[in-house]
Amino acid sequence: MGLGLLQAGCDGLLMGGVYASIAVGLSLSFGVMRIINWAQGEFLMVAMYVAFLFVNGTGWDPYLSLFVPAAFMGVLGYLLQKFVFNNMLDKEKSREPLSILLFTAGMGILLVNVAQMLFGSLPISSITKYASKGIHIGSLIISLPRLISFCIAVVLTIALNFFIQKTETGRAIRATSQNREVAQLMGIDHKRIYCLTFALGAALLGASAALLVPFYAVSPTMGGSFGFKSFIIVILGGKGSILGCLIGGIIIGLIEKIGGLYWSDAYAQILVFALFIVILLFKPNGLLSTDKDA
Amino acid sequence: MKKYYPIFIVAGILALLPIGVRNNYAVHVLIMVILNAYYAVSWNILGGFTGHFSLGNGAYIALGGYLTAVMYNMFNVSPWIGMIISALIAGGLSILLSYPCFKLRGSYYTLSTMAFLYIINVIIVSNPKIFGLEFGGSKGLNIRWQGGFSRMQFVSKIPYFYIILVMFAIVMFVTTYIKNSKTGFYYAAICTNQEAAASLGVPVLKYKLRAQFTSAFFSALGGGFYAMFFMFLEPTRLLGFAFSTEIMLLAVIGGIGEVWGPVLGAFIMVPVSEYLRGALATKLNGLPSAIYGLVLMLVIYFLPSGLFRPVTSWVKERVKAVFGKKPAEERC
Amino acid sequence: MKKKLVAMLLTACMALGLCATTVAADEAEAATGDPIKVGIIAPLSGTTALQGEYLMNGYNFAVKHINEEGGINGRPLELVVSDSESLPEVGATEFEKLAQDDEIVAMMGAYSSGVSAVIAPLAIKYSIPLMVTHAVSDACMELGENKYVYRANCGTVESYVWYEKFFQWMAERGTPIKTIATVYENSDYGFSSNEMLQKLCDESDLGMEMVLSEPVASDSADLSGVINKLKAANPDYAYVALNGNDAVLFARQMKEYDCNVAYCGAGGGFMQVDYYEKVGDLSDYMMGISFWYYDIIEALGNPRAAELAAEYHDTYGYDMQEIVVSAWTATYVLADAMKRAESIEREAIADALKETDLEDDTATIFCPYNRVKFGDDQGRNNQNLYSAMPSAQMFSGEWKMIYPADLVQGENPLVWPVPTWEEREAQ
Repeated sequence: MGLGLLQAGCDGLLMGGVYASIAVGLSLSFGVMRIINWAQGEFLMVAMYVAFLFVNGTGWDPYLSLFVPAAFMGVLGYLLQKFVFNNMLDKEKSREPLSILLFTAGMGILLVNVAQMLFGSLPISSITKYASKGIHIGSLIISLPRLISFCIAVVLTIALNFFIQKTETGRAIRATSQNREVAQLMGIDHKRIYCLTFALGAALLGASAALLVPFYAVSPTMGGSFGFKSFIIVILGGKGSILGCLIGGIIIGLIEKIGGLYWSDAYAQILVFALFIVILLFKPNGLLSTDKDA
Repeated sequence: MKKYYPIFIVAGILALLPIGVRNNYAVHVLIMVILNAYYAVSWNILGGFTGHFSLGNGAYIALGGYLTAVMYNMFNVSPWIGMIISALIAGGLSILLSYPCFKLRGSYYTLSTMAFLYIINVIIVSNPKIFGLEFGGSKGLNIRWQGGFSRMQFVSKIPYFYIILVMFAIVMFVTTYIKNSKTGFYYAAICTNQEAAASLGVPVLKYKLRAQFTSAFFSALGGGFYAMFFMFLEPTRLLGFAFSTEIMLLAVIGGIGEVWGPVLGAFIMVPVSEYLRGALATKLNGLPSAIYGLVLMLVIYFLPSGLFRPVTSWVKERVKAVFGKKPAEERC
Repeated sequence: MKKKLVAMLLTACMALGLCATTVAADEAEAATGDPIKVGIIAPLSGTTALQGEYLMNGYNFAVKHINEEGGINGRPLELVVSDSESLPEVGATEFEKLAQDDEIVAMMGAYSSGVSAVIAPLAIKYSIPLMVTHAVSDACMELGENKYVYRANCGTVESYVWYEKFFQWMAERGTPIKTIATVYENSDYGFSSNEMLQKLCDESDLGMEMVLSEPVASDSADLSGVINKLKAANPDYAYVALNGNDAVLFARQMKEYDCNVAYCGAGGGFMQVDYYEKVGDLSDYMMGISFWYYDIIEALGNPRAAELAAEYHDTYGYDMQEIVVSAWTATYVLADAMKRAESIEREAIADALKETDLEDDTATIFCPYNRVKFGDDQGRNNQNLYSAMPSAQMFSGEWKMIYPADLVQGENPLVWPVPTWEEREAQ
């Protein structure tokens, strides 16, 4: 079973990288603003519709066109934070804005059904030049589109992490997440930072959607499983930690594939959820948390 | 005793409704309204009172339904008894599952309930027989029709209506009692600030478990009713996230801190979604649910504490305007 | 002020809502006389909305033609449609709503086994005839002796029978299938298909062995794990039941991971009308065994059927598919019963349905079988005992019939064993 394990590990790694880049936005908004976007999966679905429509309409390379859904989601995220979430945060007295969680739950329902109304249920996919190509290394087969998507996802994620860690704005974001009042005293406009944070996360989500185009399809209800996995990844990796997301995503990918090898794909999902519960109970701050309390 | 008056009034009015209505479908909708209100109120015992939002109540409802059905199908246990036994089992299981999870706060707790729900979902969907008991698996479970009071099976819907009405009244009594008792104050303390409550000597975990048991017990009872009413259990729906989320949202829209909040939420949203589906579904697929989502967003944005306060204060002012009387003292 | 307004509006909604549903539903519609109303429960939204669209197309198409041909003794059929939202409890509620309307004399529905299983007992309870459409699970037909629930298409028992016949034929022609695998989504459809094939291995004389049985969570982003297992198990024949995206993903990843196992594509995913557009020649040599394939129209050689198929394409923009045909057959069978019924009333129509015996009728003009007669068989009641599930293979996006012989045109197009990916590149 050695080869099987290696193959499963490889596939898990590749998929995990993409899961990670999808989850980063959630991690950021949770870490900085304690906002839980219950519609993360539906946002991905919207971004994918944008990506597919663009790629199918213009015939551009799906990877080169990742700027389109990234920009679209970035702007959408900025506006959402500016006009809706910031107001709700002001009203919310407790540390964790539960109302935003509920609001986004309603938004998720709205998005799924608007997609249903606009596009119907027929899944949309693209035929790209990357489809069905595999790189053979001995008996190991590496799917070409997934490899490319993995690389881009990792690069983007690390780039965002670099931005957060090393740049002025990044420092402002970290300061705001650690202590909003003090950051304000330092002259940081926390509302603008919030908008920027949410926008950055949404933009990365948009880019990730483009990465799924070569080997996936979009339909109104496809977002759900990605959304929940994102939560698991964020908690695994520790909220606010981008590198934690990367590790968390890869772990999830590996469990899915290796679990699927020894058990079956459907039951491997139970493993993921079981791991999730274990992490919640024993290490709720995640493996690489930046925060002290759960 | 004064606090219980509203229960009598509301239940009394509802009890009279079917007399004027011959149409089976209308009775069916009334049953659904009250059943959903019942679910939401049961959820609220844990969710609203202690601040632990469970998105896994579907599991207890389903468990109640399945166990009642299995006991009836395989062992001929009367559902009246079966419901209570399954509710006790569900309550016990809930304590087992929640004991470790109550360490978690806020959304973490909610996510853990979803994880458990998912696991139970996969287990039931993939295994038609569990420990030799017929659960039906992904096909769902049919309940044998034999008819008769002892089996809680009636041809007409009216008896079902009165059963759920009585169950509803019972759960309202229990909730009102809790709210105004020492237990209720402890719950509120836990909800507001858990650490402070603990440092003041409140046995936090014990009370949370008590709330959890009560909530799961009543939810499972509701599940037993559901099973005997629909005569069919389908795991994809009952154990899916959508169903559990809907129950929570009904309570939230109505107002979670209040005893009657979830009732208001159900009494508004259930007829609205029935109406929307009837009027709009054939015109444009997905429109009714889209509107439902939009309504949720609007209510949560403009009235995050739910509808209960604004609606009741508006009603009270109308009453005051008409009768010139002072409204009853506002209770928090 | 804003809050009060919203609160007011919503209270008004509550009052209105409660009253409206009670009162409005309670008022009887004024009798209109001419059209005959048939109630439909179909999934217009939710997870099987796509299939619901095909279902409604089929019903509407059939009704249009029935009315053009003179309706039921001069009276046109009118469909009253309700959305089941792909959920059994909604389907049940809507069924009851429609059953309350005394003008609705019969019902049809509901595509999925889950919803159909819930509404079938209700049909008996309300004494209203129901033509179960397309649902394959036998649960809805095992309700005991009754005269209200009928089904013209195949059930699980029939699929077992026809699978057995197909495998027997493969053995007889010298290419026996000894090992099979199943890959199925973890839904009711998937589980019952897997169960049926397992039973085939255990109980029939074919001597087949199931070497792999893999449930898959639906909407997977990646089927590579399953495909690698399939490669390792190397069965002679794989049965793959997947929906939506998964079917497309499967075809692509079979090539990516160089898996040469011959497989049969079952389930909604492979029957999407634009499946070939999405996967292209990756779908070559895929096997199939199902209710219906487009090639059957050619095989039957009936010019009228070809005409109707072309008209369907013009009307809806894509070709007919199996769900459409199930709906067509159900509607025509019902119409036939209504024409024979003593009166256009529920009881009379139910009695007439019981006596149905159609041969070479418009009802089966598209079908791979030409008789509809209901009977009781293997625990089911009022099941059409003459339905069939033929087999086909796909070439360049078109299904060509391979079994049974009377549907094969010219030389049997079956290519077996299926060429490997390397061989296909070389071609």
